[in-house]
Amino acid sequence: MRKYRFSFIAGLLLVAFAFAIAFTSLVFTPYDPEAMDIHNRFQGPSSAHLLGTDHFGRDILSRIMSGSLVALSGALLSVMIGSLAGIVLGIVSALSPKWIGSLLQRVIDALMAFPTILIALVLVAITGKGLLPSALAVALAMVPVFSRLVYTMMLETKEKLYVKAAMSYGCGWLRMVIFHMIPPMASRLVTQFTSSIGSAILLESSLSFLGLGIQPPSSSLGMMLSEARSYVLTYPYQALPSGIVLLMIVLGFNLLGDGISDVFAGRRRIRHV
Amino acid sequence: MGKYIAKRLLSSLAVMAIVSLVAFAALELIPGNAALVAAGTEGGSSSVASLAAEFGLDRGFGERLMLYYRNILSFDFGTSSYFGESVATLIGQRLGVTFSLAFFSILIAFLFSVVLGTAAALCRNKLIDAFSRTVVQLFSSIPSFWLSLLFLIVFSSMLHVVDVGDYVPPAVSISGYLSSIVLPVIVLAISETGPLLRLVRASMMRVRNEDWYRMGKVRGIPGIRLATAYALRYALPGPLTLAGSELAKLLGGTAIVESIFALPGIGRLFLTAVEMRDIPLVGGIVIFVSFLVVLMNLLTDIALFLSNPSMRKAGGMKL
Repeated sequence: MRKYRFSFIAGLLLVAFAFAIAFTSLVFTPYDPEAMDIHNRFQGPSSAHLLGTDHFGRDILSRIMSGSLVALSGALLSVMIGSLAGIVLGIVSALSPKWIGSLLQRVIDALMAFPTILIALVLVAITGKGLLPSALAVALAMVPVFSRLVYTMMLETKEKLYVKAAMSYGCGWLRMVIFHMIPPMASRLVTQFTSSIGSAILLESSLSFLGLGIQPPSSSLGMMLSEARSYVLTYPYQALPSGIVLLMIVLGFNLLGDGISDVFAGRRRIRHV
Repeated sequence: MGKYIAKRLLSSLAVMAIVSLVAFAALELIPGNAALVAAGTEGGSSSVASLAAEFGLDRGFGERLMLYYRNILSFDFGTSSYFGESVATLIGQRLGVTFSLAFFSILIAFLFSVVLGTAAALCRNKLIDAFSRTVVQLFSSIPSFWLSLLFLIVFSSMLHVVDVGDYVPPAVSISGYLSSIVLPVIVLAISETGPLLRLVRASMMRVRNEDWYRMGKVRGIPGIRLATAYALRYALPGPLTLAGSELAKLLGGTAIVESIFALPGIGRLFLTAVEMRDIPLVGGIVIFVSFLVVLMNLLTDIALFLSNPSMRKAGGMKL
């Protein structure tokens, strides 16, 4: 039981840290994240620049702080859109006539079997580069997993006795879905939502790394790494700070999702006893 | 048995039809005119018009859709507007690189996951289990492009173990081939290990609660024999299916790693195609990859069906 609590607490701490640096960047960063200082480029860590400076002499710490805000808000937005669309799609395919439902799920299966980066690239090719298009591409990649989850859980709950009882009392379908079918799914959805944020940040930063996400001079963690890539052989340090922070944020959400699912599982076990 | 395979084949065809339709719609939506791109800066309006006629851009929507399906069925994906070569040739030239990357990385990830996942679930050793949980979390959180950069720094620039930048085909030199793909293969294997290991461990956990497994323990069958002869057979279908579909996915999902390690594969071709708005090439690669994905999933399903007597009797998995 102790190790479960460990992943929950470690995840919570990392996520709290991510939100802390991201929101601090709104009111305070050590330097202007976009201010260049050509004389002091490629500096290592020092008391003036805690994490050093990049190829334009911009303060890396300040850029990481504002980049985390971009990563977090972009990922939250994408997962919210994607999960909402997925949940609606899952409910619709579970409640509609069987052949429509299974056809919809076939399409979802096909989407799921497809490389996410390929889908995102095609979408960015259609809409153009930028923060919003890449967030939409990530959202689209999040739809299948939610829809599949809701669909299978809905098929299970539909057969439950209390649902049939509510139906025989004349409960409307909207009321049925909102009050009888969604609550038992909530724990699984919260877990999925949390770990999806981790994968959304990964995908978004991959798109930024390819130069398809948010455009310069704004900073995002993926873009910082893409810039560091050009100097990776001469100034290897450039690739370290933003990569480590990115890893910490993604790890935080994954651990938190895992921890939450363990907490819910533990509670269920206790209730059954 | 024939009925199951026929049903499965039919549903694959349906998925293919839907995917190709979606791809067609997506390509229609990409802004930019393929004929203008192909004509280049020196092309006059007459060459643009003749190229447009060649690409079928001057016809109506329905007619273009028919043409599109006729071309797919005859494996004619058209001509790339950027490279000026046939799309099928371009893909063919690069398939070997991407296939090597995908195949070796899935192989390594699968073997590693099976060994570690089985040990974690069956050994009842807290240390091994904690280690495997850490590996799952860490490996699924590492951005693969960052890991590639770290590998470049450590192995290429600091230790000078591997030269990056020249892909050597296996026909030229086997050792050169292996050293040109070893780093990207490890990067991809690491990111594939997360989901695979998680699944192997979960299926093995189920084995622990089976009556026949407890019975085997009670009878004193050695743990290794119990794991390899009985538990693996029972727990592997899930992970094998996942490995199959991940392999197919990787055939279209290696773009980032290929571009960092400068390997001439399909992923990098796709990046170029998107960057250059080379619509025939984008479409060709999308159709090709989805064909591979569907084919791969069909093959793993059929293989599992044939290898599992109880499924064979029941007439196949529920579709």
